[in-house]
Amino acid sequence: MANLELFDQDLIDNPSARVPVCLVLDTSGSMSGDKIDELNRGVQLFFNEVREDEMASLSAEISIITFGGTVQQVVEFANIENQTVPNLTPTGRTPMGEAVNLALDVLEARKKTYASLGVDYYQPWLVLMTDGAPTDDITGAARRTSELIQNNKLTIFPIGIGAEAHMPTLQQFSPKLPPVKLKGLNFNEFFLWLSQSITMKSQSTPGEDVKALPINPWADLTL
Amino acid sequence: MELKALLDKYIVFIDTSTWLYPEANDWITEQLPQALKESEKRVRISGKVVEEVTKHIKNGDEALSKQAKQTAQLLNQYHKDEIIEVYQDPDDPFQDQAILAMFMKYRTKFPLAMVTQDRNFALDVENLNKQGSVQSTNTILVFYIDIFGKLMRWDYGVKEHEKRMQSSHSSHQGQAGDRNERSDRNDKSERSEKSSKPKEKIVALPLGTKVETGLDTELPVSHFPSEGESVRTDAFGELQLMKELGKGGEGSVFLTSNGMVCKIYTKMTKARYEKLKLMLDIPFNKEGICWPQSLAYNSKGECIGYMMSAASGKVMQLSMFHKKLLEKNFPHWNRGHLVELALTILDKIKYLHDRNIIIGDINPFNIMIKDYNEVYFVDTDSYQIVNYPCPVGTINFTPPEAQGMRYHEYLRTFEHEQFAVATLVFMTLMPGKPPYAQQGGGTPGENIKNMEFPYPFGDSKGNAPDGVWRYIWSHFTYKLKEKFYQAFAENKRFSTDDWIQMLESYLYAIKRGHSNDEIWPMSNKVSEENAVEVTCNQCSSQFVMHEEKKNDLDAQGKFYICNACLMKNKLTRVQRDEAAATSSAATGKSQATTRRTSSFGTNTAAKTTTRSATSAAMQARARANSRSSTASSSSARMGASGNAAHTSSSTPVVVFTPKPPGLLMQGIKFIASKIKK
Repeated sequence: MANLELFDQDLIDNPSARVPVCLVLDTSGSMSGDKIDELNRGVQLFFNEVREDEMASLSAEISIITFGGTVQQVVEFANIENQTVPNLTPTGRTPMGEAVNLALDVLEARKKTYASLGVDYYQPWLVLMTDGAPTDDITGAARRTSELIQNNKLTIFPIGIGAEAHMPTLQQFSPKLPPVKLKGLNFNEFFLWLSQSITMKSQSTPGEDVKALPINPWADLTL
Repeated sequence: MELKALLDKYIVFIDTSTWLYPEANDWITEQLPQALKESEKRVRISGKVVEEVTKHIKNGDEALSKQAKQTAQLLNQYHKDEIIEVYQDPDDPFQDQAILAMFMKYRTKFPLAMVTQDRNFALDVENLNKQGSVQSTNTILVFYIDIFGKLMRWDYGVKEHEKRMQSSHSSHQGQAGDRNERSDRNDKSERSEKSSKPKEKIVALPLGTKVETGLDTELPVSHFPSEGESVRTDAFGELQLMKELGKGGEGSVFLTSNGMVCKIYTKMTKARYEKLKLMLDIPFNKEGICWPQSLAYNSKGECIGYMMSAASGKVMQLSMFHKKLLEKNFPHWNRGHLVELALTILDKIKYLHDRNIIIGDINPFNIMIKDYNEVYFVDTDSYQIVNYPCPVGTINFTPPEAQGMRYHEYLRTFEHEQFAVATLVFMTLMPGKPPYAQQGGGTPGENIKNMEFPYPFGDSKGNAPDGVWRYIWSHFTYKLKEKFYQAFAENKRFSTDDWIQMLESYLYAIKRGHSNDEIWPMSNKVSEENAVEVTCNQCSSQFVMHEEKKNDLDAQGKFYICNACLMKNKLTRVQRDEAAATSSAATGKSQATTRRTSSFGTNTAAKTTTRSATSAAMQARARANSRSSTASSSSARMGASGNAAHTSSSTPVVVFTPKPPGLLMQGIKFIASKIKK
């Protein structure tokens, strides 16, 4: 069908409640080298894991927003079967505030789509990863996430990568859970954990208090 | 007994319920008249039949009114053929009582028979056989028409299929409960003894009264065996743990050397131990319920889990709760199979309920489906046993009054459970769609608390989810819709027996071709007499539309758009809105950022597009989409609004003239004249 991307029949046919997940990833210049390679491998693994789990593949919907120079929605929400994972390349500065704002807009719009078609959904998850400090003003975006989190309308996973990651900034986005520093470049462990947490979530009903799995395998607990 | 033999020997009465029973249609329009003519006999009806039929024509809902209209015509035909006679006691308006009195009076003189679908009435008539000082040689026979259109004997108010079910798992509580309304308890027990063929005695556990305390007290365990090690069991001796089959929050499940399965916990609590002992104490033997068969111990003799029979199949959620899963796993199923599957599941639930066992956490992850007639209930150790609650649950299967309560802190009631059963039946027939999923609305928990059931029934229009779900609903029989509506909008609770009866008649309607056998119908139900074929102005396909709807569209000069196109248009519109919402919010800013980055001069990945470019591309696709169809974008909009109009009338679009037709009036006049005599 010519308009495949705009016409996602699965939105109607699939009765499973959806878990919208937005990955907001730092692709600024400082991510060059091993970091971006490991991140790319991790994201790839994440998509494969979700695809392979029958329940998660019916429930999870994934979007990716990158901030590296520009803010780009490199993967739009869709049925995961129809999505391709781009190779991320590092460049430019770190407009984190704008990226989080876009992520919130995108998630809000997706929820509206679910509601207007009568599809049940969970409150969205936002994964925010950075190896540095923002180059734009994050106060507006941080206020938005904080408000959503206080009203149980969003779960955020702020992750710091490497020694330069500015943890106090990440803390501003997350009034409930403290940010976590990734152990080394264990992106794979993180994304494996994330897909397993989605699987658990997808076996509950929206509104149920499902705790994410323990974070030990990928978190740097010396923080 | 052969119908002809019955008519030769007996004076046969037919009650209104049978005249109006859709599944009796064949019997009453073909077999009975023919047999009557051959025997030169007449059936009898009471005047009540005429009154009730007339009342239903005027006041019934559409389906009932249609049925009543046909019955009136039929009565007229019977009269013309001189195969019917009306019995009327003009002094007694309470016809049931009049008939009973008449039966009482004449039962010694004449052999009498009654055909009725009404369980209570059947029981009253049957009871006449036991009353009075004179033991008559004539036994009054009471019949009903079963879901396959066959004439069957009532047996102490119990239908044949129910007796079958009783003997298969020896239960009679449900029926006994039904009968309570009209008979005292002593009478009931006497009857159920008589009705029962040889059967084992049901040992029902007492219902819980208050949650046991100290549930979390942990019992010391030195070692939990794992794969390759062995366990000791009371019933099966020492067994090897061959292979870990699965792992959950509470523990792991292993295949053992005798082919059975062993669940080993990660910690042993007093509650688990005591509950398992209670479960092992009662006689329990039901195929497909993986009930504990024996405790399992480690080498030190500490209890660490239990043995059960192996399950087979895939969890319900992953077997069938998506069109593509259902088509992959059960490619040959049709709707009848879904109903049979629901009946298979209900049969097991009934077995549990008869023993006062409340499942508690009914959900599609602890039922495994092998086929429509083979299912397995797993995780039975979470069931509520006396004062040990079921500590888990899910929102969708929790009734409004228990939303927000903590599962391990209260004992569930049968009323709670009945809500879960209704939800499971709904989600089986609408594969995977929870009853309260809707357009707009709140979270699932909020929707349940507010009893916001979105499917249309009667005057309630509803905001049902888009797509096939509405069509499935529209094809349900009236009775089934009514039942779901009562359960989910009016918060009525129905017993497992109620659902079994409901689904048996739905299954029958499907098998007889009275109800759609498709799992995924493509459109709302349109009765044949009102169907007109039109061409979709958008995709040029032929489709069927209700005549009135076509007239409306014609009057307003609007196009005909088929369901597939309506859906496509709506999806396109919704997704375009989504794209627009995220692009407009940021256009200015992101362009600025783009310019800014260009000064950094590094490459942007060729695969990625900037946000504004993405949305522009999406809009271009959207435009291309509406151009590619024959309709303009305005007609697409029309289609969408047409959709709203279409769906607002999405209860079966079957319309009847309210005025009784001439033939019917004649029939009523005839019967009235008869009554005067």
